[in-house]
Amino acid sequence: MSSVPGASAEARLLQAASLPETLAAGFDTFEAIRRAARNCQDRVPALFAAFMTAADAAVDGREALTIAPSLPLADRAWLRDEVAACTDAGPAAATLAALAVMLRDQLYRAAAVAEEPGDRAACHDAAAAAERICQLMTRDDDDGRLR
Amino acid sequence: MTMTAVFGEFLRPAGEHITAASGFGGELPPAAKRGVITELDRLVTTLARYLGDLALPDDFSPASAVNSPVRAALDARIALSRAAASLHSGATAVQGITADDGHPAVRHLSAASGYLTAGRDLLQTHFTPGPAGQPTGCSPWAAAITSWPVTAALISELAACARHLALWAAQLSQTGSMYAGMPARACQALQTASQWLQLAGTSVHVAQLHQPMTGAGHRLLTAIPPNIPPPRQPLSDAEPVPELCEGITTSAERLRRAAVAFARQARWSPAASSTSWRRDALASAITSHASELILRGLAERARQLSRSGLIQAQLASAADAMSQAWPAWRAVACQWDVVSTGIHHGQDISPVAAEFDDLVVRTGRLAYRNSHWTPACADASVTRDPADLAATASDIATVQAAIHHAADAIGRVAASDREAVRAAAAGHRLYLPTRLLPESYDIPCRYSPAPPPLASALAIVYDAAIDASLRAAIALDDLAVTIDAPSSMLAAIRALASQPASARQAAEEASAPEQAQPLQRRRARPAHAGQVEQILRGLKITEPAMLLRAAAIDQAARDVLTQATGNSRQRNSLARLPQRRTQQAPRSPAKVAARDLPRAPDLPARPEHKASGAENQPVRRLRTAPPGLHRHGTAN
Repeated sequence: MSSVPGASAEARLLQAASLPETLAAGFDTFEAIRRAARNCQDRVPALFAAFMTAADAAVDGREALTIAPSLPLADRAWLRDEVAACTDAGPAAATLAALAVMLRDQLYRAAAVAEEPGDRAACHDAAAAAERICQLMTRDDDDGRLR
Repeated sequence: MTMTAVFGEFLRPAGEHITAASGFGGELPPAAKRGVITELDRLVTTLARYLGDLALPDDFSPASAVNSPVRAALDARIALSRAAASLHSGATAVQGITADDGHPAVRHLSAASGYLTAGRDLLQTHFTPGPAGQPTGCSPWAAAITSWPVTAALISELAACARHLALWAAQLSQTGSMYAGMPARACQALQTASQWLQLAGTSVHVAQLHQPMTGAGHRLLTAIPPNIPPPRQPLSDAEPVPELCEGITTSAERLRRAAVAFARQARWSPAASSTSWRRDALASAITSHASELILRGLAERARQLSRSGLIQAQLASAADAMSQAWPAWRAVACQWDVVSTGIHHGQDISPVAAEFDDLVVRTGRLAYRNSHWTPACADASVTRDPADLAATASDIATVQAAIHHAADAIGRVAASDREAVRAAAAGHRLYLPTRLLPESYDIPCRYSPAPPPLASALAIVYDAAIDASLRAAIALDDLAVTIDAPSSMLAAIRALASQPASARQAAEEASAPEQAQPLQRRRARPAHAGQVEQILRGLKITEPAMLLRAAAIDQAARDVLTQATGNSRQRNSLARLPQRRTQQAPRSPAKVAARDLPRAPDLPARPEHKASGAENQPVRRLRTAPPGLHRHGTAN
């Protein structure tokens, strides 16, 4: 059984009311996606490349947000609580794809309202990483929603 | 398919043109003869430059410091440079006099010169001037080119050219009326050059009779490509297996070159970052994972086609080795999850990381049935059917070669990355995102320095991955040799490069004192100039033959002292030695000196005419050395 970020990650992203909150939620969501992808990468040989690459893209997204000037350096307790159970790699991929879609959309919204160029660039780069995760994790039969 | 010219494609036609030119014999019209002298000047100058490029010891190295093939190469270098000087003098003499450049013999020589010049240019692409101006390898082939087997093969080819030209030049200088339409200086130059050419060719030939060169060296020599990356082959939909294999080989070749080129920028380039190294590790893991699947498929196909048990076993062994490589690379990638080189603006990645994309996708498409495979879940697929992977036995070799190239490239990139990462760690340029640390760490920065254990762990996983990749590459080397795959050249290159220089040197010295040794190492060894040689050097004497003689005298003195010391130590035990002990013939300094000078082959009889520029005449033996060798600074 692997652990993937679930509804609470989605809720945290949606509840973020300010740019710093969105950046913090984004950072932690990327990290949660990375850990979930690592947990799943050896489950199905045919999906090895997909999960490995998704984890790499999650690191890209997290690194992009790390240099955002408005990212708060404190408030780091949430990360370790955010896990949910999942039975196998297929549903895990679908969950990660849906979460990545939401993350991408939130980051593009944040980029639109960010005043600092550094924040805008970070949000754009991170959103692009989320988009890559979405592309990697989406299966033909996915409808893009969290399950 | 884009074919790249290799060195053999220049060397072979050059030899053919020389043979064709010399087939015209000595009876040439004067105008053609003048053209021949001009072209010979160009050609022999090119030959001399080849030898000048080689990493040989100094011309005046003491005989005791070099072995017999190297000594012969040094002799040939001196002789060829003198032949070139003689011919240049001849060409200058005929300058301004009408020459028949259209004569076939002249055209053949011109073509040979062109091919050899192009071949030399090809070799030069593998080297760039180092900090002190010395040539420094800048390609994966550089180490092979400077290895002794390849150097010996090149010297052998050049010597063969010299022998051909020597015979012909001797004929040209002896037939017909010597001065008919030719300045006397040109005729004399031709005579002298023929003797130097003969000396150059024969000294190497004789040395190689005693120590034949290896076929591997010649095979590698002729296969040297220019150090120009092949053009990228853009991915296209539904590439068949042969195109996938070709594309993998191309990507691997581009990767190897990119790795060597980027290694020189690793200390300053913004692209030398954790992002690039992480991407390299990811690509290595995915490529190696797919490679294991492909090798399992080939092993099954070999069984289906009833290939020999050895081939089946080697395929299985290679697959097993690859099954150790990808988890090792996965571990490297995981290690990069938390380690970073810190803030980097933009999305710069190294050219190496950028090259990897094609390799990953094509290897995946070769491993899986989906011809549109990408790492995405949507393109996931079952593995390719073994019969589809390799329809025939020769297809096994083609696919194996592609995987072999990929594994070799991964190993080379890994070695470069490891060094760059070590440098980053030593420079305290590895960090952790502070936000990943527990809240108890109150660090007011976005990144905090990576603790030393984390940097050590990174180095350890790199070592493990490189070791695993090397094992896989070696297993594929063995297989390539067994099935004579197109990639067997990689095995030969690795065999040369993988021997630790010191071990190789020690082994050669221990097992075969006369065995040729790596020239680069030889050059690094300081030559211990003897007393006489030091005096000459103090007098600013740089004339090689003089210094050679001095070195020979010094060596003779050392021999006498060594023998005398040995006799003194063994005096008490001599009586107990059996009488069958061979008595060593005493060696006179003159004999030793004669041994050290360029050995004279059976030179063609000198013409009656006594050249005024006799100082350019090559030596027959020390006792009959031309005057120039006995004069300070008068010889060329």
